[in-house]
Amino acid sequence: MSGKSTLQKFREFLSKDYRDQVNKRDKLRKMLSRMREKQRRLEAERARESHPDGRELLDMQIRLLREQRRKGIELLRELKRARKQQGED
Amino acid sequence: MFRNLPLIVALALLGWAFWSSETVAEIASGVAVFLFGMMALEQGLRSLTGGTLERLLRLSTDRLWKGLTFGAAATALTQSSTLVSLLTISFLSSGLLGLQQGLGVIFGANLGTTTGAWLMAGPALHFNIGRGALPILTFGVVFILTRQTTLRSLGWVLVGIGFLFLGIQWMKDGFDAFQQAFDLTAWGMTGLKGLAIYTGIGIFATVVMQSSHATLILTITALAAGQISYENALAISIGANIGTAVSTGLAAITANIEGRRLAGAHLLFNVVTAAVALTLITPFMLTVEFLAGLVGLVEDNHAVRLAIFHTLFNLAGIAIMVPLIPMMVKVLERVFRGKPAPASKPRYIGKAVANVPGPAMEAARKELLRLFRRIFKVIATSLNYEPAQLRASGDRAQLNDPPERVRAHDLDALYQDQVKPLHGLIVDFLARVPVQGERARQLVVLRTTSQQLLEAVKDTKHLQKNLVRYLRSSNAGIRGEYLQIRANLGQLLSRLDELSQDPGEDLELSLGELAARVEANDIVTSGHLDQLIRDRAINAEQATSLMNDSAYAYRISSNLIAAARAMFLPFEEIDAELREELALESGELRDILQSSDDAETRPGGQAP
Repeated sequence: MSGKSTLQKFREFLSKDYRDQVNKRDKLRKMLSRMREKQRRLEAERARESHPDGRELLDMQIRLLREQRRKGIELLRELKRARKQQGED
Repeated sequence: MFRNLPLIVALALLGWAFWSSETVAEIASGVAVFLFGMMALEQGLRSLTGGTLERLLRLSTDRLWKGLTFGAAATALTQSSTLVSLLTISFLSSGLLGLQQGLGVIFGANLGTTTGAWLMAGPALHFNIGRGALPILTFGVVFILTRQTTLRSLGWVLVGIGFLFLGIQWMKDGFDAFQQAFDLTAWGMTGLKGLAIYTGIGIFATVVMQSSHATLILTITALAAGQISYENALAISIGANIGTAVSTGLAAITANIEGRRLAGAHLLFNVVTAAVALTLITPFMLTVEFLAGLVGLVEDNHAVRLAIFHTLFNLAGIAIMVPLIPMMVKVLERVFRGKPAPASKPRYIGKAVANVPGPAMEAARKELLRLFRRIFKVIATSLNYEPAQLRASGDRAQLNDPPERVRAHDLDALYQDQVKPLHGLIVDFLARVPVQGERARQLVVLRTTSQQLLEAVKDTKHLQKNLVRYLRSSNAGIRGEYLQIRANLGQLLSRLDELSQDPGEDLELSLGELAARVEANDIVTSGHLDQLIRDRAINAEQATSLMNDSAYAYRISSNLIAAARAMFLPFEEIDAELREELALESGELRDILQSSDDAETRPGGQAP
């Protein structure tokens, strides 16, 4: 049996806020997966790079991405928590 | 005066009708109630399905057939081509939809309006729908009184339907009573004269009532009551098609260039379709008879025949005009030419987009981007760069060269002329966009962006004072520092300009890098200022100036980067609020820079 009642599903279907939240979560997920891809590419590039200046730049980019991803993952968790709480209310 | 003429004539006619006959008054009241029902229905559907229609329209922009289907289905569902036209105009104005796709939607909407004739000719005439109207109205009003937005919107839809039914019933009753007193068929005309005059009546009635639906229902009820001949009713339905385009045209006089192009296309489509229908009326009538025979329609059911005719000639219009769409686009773009918008006039925002949240936000974003380009010029000029110099992304190293001549520009005048009027219009527009929930938060981001752009100009004004003074200084130490501030800002502007043209796939990373560079360039936190003082390269007064101006440069850069985060990509790709939440704070950036330095000192410099 699904935990959600039909009424709840219908309410969610009509609720613009709910749709917006789902959209936001999807966008964030897509963005994070794109960032992970980019980070992997940069790490591979970093391993091949022999010039110290190039390595330094790539290091900084990787750190930036890592930090941005960390914030994004935290935000995603927060959104999930908020959604769960709303469901319980 | 000319625009008010139909209203004056209509008021005079109504006054005469109410005074002269009770039955005419009943018919007129039926039309009024019907029109009010359409308005209520439109309002309800707008808030009930607004977001859904927007989403669907966004999905139907890539193929012409999708646009046509969307136009037809949305109009059939909402029974309002006006709603669909306004939605299309707002999408066009904000650049979310091209003219070619917009034409597809409008042509489809024309086909969608024909469903109205079917509804009226079918169920509306054969049942006592007036009896159903009152319970629907009652439920509608109860829903309107609730607090929930969705239920309230549903309430307006029900009230709209209730009034539509009531209006149709009154018109039917009016014509039934009228039949006993007068015989309008005596006014019937045949041949070319009849076609021309009744087409004119159809145009006039639709322009006055602002609704081809109202004209059609009036015609169908009159036809069913035997008060009008079948041939004359066909002519009125052709006139109603032209009349609805004339109404859109009149409404588009105040619209922007996209709105006028679309209205022009609508008029052209309807006039061509009407011309075809009038020229080929006999073959059309024969086809109608053939189809009526196929489905076994009784001889005197002229109302359904009218609906078939209405659908047929609109389909013929689509078949003729769709292949001509690319040519029409060229002609329309030549006839309605967009002039470069003056400094004080907006290019994207305006009435045409204000009521549809998605296009309104996109239009505001594009207008902010336009404001950014102006601010880019103002800041570049005040730094003694030629804007073109910063735009040429080839050799950024030349931005470090000192200017040939140092000039102080009147930033107040530039601000008043180039920035303030447009900024004011954007702020005014943002205050009028009807948004709720998630979108309201995104709107706040746009408002903050406009503020950040303004702050950047104001800080530039403060910075310019000392920048000009010390760039002319003979003290190499202080001049070098101000040249560095200028070069840092020049590099940032140049990169931002490049990103504004092509944000690429990793805008977030590019902006993060820029922000990290701004942190690294901050001479106060890096300790560079202390070093200058210790080395006696600058005196105390110069150190204070440099400290203040470095803070101005830091704020200009941070504000421009934050604004870029909200402006450089369309809302639909990644929303601005999300981008803002992922942006790294100054402390986090400093930690990254610090760990970069540590890694450098470590042997091998491995990334953790």
